[in-house]
Amino acid sequence: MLIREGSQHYYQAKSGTDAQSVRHMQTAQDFEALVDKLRAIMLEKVKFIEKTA
Amino acid sequence: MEMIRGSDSSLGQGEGLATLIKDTLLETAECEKIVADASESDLQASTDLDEIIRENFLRKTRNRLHYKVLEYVWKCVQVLIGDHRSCLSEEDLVAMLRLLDGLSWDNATPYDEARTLPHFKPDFTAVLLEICDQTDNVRIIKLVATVLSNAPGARARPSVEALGLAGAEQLNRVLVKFAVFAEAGDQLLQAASKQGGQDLKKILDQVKKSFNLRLHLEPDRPQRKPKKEQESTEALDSEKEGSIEDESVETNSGHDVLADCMQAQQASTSASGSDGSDKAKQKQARASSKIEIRFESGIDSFLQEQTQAILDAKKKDGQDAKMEIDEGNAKEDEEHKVKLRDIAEKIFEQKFEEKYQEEVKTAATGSTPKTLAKFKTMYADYVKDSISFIEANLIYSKFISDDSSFWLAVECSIQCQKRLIQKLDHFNSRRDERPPGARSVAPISRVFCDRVQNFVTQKLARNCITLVSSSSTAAESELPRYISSCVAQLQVLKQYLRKVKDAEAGPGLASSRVLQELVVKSVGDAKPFLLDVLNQISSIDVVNENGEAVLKFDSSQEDAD
Repeated sequence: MLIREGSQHYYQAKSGTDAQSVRHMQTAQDFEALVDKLRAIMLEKVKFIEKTA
Repeated sequence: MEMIRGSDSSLGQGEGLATLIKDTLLETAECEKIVADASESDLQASTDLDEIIRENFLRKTRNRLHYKVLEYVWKCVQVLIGDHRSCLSEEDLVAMLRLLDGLSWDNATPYDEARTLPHFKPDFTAVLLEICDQTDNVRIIKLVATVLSNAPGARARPSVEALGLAGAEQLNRVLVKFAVFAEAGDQLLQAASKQGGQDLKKILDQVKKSFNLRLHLEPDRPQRKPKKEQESTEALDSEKEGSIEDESVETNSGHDVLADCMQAQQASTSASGSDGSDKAKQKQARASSKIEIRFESGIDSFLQEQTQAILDAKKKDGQDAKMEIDEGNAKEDEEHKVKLRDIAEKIFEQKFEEKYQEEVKTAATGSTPKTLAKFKTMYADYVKDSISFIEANLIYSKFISDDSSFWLAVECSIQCQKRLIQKLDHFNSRRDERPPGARSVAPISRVFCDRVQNFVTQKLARNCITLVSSSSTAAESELPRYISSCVAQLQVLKQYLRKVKDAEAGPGLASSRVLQELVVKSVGDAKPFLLDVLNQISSIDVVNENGEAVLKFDSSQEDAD
């Protein structure tokens, strides 16, 4: 989500089939996966803090 | 924290965070392949794996993303390292530090650090210092130095006062480590330069064979100095004299450039190449009260012996304290990892006892005995500095074993130099500010400050010249390494020159003098290359006006840090 909103080239790349577009989409997906994981970990931390507070 | 480690599948990805960062985002395996093929490729100049990963990340990934995403990742990685470093393996930590490194460089100006990222939190800086303090892994030391020196803001360069006593001591240990590695790189480059990069194995053998650690264990000379000053001066004297001595490698006398600046340095090392070297060494040894630690049987067997001795001592202590030790505890004792710092402490204690054995024996006669406990109380800072110094030397000498470790040590040295330059303000400000008689929060002494200052003014340019000269004679397969190191070294030099811009006359004049030598006297092909690169990568211009080198700074750029 963050990547889609943030990347100005995203929609352009989404419809493209050239190497640059493919690479761009791949990067966006990788970072989405990263950000998802980070968010999950941070949420877990927040829950833990709330529980122990 | 399985999610970080990699066994997590709850997110449906089948891989953990560290694995994702390492394999997918940083493409570590691909970059390792590039390094392996570097000698065959004309396109890839560098062989520094961390640098290749960073460049790959900047080129392929970083500029495709919104800065807010990067900022989020930048902050999260800090939280993960800060809160969960105990869950991270060394490999995971390296991957996370590489990601931080990649994020902290501005892809628009690849020779400058990013300015848009939020500053480190003070706690995270403290965590990085702690990691660097506790590790024996040279790659991690290098990456921490890189990340800290590239991080924006003063929080990455905290004052000792801001860290508190424990933090300040840790900072000092890390700085001593950086200083040892910074100078070790200089030694290695000189050695490589002499051999023309032809036979690194031979150089390594020589460096390892000639590695001696020299300690000076007399901080209380009879001069009537204020106690604190005396203590700190001696502490760093010991470091200076105890620096790694590569006896088999003489300073390259063909370098007329910097001859004046390097005179003192040459006096201490060039004797080894001449006929009268033995006499000079004997004279030196007689004149000083230094204690040498020789690793005649090799550093690895020396460390094994020391480790075993410490384990035996611990076991024995345990038996004395408790008559019965259950098997589980004994096993735990055996498995307890002895750190190099424990060995460093043991070496210090051993050498102290050897030196003052007689005085300790005659303590009953009324003279003041130099017992270790008393010595430690009186000269706590000196002892800590010395132990850190021994530890850093052990790490370094243990690490150097083959070609790749040789070059990683050189790369680490360059990053440590960069970090030390970042701390120059701190060194300079501490030189004169301490009120007489006041106890300093940190034991970093004036001599240490002078030593770092001296190192950067004299050796940075010399290292550049060495690298440039070496690259002209290096074997083709080694050329990318020399070029890569040379560029990194020039970046350090550039950073230093930017520091000099606003500094007081002392270091500024010294640097001008060094650069004057570079401009006026030519050393093979080095001069034009250095000047060209300096002009290209920095806002600093060096011009020759009536035979005098003049530094011209472009005040409109960059320094709004």
